[in-house]
Amino acid sequence: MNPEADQNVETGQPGESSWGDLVERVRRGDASGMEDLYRVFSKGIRFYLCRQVGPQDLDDKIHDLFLIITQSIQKGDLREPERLMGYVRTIVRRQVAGHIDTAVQARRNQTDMEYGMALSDTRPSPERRIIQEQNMDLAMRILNSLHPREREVLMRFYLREQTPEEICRDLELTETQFRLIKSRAKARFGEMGKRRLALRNVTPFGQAKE
Amino acid sequence: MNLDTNRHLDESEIEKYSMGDVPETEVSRYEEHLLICESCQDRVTASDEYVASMREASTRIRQGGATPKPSPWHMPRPILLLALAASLLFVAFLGFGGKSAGLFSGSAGSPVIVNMIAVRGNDVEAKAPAGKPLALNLNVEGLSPAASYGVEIVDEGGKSIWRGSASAKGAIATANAPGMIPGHYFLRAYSPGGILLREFGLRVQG
Repeated sequence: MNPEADQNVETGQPGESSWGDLVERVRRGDASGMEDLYRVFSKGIRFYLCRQVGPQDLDDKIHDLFLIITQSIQKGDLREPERLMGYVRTIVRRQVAGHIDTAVQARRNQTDMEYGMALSDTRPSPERRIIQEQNMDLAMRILNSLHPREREVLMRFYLREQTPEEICRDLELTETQFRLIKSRAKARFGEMGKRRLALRNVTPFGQAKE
Repeated sequence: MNLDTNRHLDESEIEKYSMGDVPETEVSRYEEHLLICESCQDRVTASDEYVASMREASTRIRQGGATPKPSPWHMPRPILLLALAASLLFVAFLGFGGKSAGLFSGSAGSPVIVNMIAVRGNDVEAKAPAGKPLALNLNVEGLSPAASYGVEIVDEGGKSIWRGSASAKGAIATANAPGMIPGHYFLRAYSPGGILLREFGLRVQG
């Protein structure tokens, strides 16, 4: 693919006219078409799958999806090449829905499972758990440091999922005050997180506290 | 409805997507863009982590697992009086040439002028030397005009370490604060009625 031919300035990805070229090469079974398809979509598909169904067997799932997508394009199922993004998204969503359905069935029937049957561990990895715990600690520090009224705003928004309009009305805030409270807390979370990472990076190997 | 899948998602859209608040009619534009944009994927991931952490922390606070520390400005009256007395003693101690062991450091020399602009991102902050009294010029442009504003300095954990007032003249309000030990601080400007109006970043360097 000629990357300069038609590229979106913001995403750096092919523009609509290049989708046609890419789809045509995939249809022909051209290896460069498959490579480009993988390069453009693999990260996005990984991101979507990981967010929806977790990190288990991600590589296998992505591989299966690319098989489905390329075979489907080669069969001529994609009639409007410029709609490639929407087409890929639809297939990925269908796969995710299928996966969730299977998981629900498995849970429903789990009492009937035979002893020794393999099950995925859906809990986060130990490293991930530590990161989550540290993030939660940061959030707790931020919430605890706030004026009770500001804390109430954030708790209503993130926990009770009240709309900004409801919160502003109930707490007699302007939209600007609401946004300020929210953005300041978020900026501080980012700042404290960055500092934590920086501290972790400068600790010489082997000198970490036991 | 904007169906431009090539446009980056803005902050509120990222947050909406993270919280699952995007209407079904618009979600395709978000997801088609996210399929091909690494930058927005990273922003959604960061937002997911933030939202999850805030929810978890809020839940724990709500359940009483971690009682929020009361604001120092909501102390029972006897404690407030004791704190006031302690502050006066502390100030007297500094006045007699004692050395500070806390967040404030010696106030030798003339004040250092620090021009403050509002925090717009993580990297925008004023810098000041440690141990010098500070003459803070706060940019209050765009705020409701007032003769003076309340000023509070908090440390990076949000702990209040100093309170005072700033007298305003045009777009600048000036406050005098004591010298501080090195660290990262935030200055908060309040309306005379106590409503938080603006926040500034300040790094005190040794």
